[in-house]
Amino acid sequence: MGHAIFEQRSGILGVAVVTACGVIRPEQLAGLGELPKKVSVLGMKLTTRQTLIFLINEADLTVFQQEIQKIGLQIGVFGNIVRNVKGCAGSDQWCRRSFGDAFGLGVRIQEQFMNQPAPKDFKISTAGCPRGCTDPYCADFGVIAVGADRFDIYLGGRGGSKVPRHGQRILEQISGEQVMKVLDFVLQKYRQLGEENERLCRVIDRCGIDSFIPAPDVYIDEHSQPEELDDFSAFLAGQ
Amino acid sequence: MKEINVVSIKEAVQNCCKGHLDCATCKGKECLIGFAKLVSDYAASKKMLSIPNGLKMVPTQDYKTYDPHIVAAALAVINFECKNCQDSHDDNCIINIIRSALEVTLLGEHLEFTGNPLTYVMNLARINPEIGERVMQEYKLLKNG
Repeated sequence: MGHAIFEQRSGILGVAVVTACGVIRPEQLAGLGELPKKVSVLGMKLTTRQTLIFLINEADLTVFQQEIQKIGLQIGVFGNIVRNVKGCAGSDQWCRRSFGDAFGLGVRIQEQFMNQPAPKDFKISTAGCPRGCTDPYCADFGVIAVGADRFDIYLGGRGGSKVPRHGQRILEQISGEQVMKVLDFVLQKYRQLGEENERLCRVIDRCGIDSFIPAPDVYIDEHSQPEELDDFSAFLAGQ
Repeated sequence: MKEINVVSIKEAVQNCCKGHLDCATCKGKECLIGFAKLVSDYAASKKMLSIPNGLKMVPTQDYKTYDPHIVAAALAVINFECKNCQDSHDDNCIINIIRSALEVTLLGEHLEFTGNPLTYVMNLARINPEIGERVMQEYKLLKNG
């Protein structure tokens, strides 16, 4: 595991910067615009995983890291770890199609789990609706909003491969809080069962999906409040 | 891409309602047309285009008969407003929920929708040529402006 800093053939460094599921605040964008005045930025690229790659000279690396920190962003991570979350901006604010706050959950997952160790790279994707613009079906751990604070979980997908795979749905309609507990459980199991460099889908092939499905008491709090009516049911009840 | 005209959908569904002259008591959400009206009201007021689990909530115990000509015209409007999402079709899209409610009044059963409104109307014509032909005619009229 380590920082996503890669020396290119030319000797230039490619440094990945992680955003909050692809969302950048105006002041952060302005801060990025100021960077070329402080370090020699030779080029930038938006990646498919919602990071920004900067091409810089190695001599500028320390200053670059400091400046990135100042504007509230961070250097990406790489290796056999939990990667940054590829998150849909789906929420009431950003997308009409969104069923639930996939963006808020994605950011929360990233803050809590990014950079945790895993047998192989572990990619998480969150989406606000079943269309899945962020490819949740092709993530090791895919989360899809199906209602207000209701999410389905898909496990064992794989993209960016010669042999892409769709994950399997393991749980339906659980809350964001429960998603966090399920993710923690899945990662623990993956570390227990996975061999070095073995991607989750391969571990599932070998050990079975059932090993990764937590018992309800793992994620359901016995003191939790009864569920409220969903918005449409409440609308119907009010007619 | 065109926006969904929720007002047009509301009017088409409203036209199917038998009203208080035929129904002594309005059953609201328990009636297929009543449910479709509520879905269109919800979509208009909340600006929501999808309702989680909405398709499963379509009432199946409404055995009233409706004017097939009016419902066929409404079904044509619904399919005209359908955004032809193909593989990205969402069963719980408000259009699909209303389409389901209307088709159950005509066929007595739910017809699977695979993402293409034209294919749907052709399938409808295979199952019930008379209704399918009527929906197709109305659909073509709308398409041709």
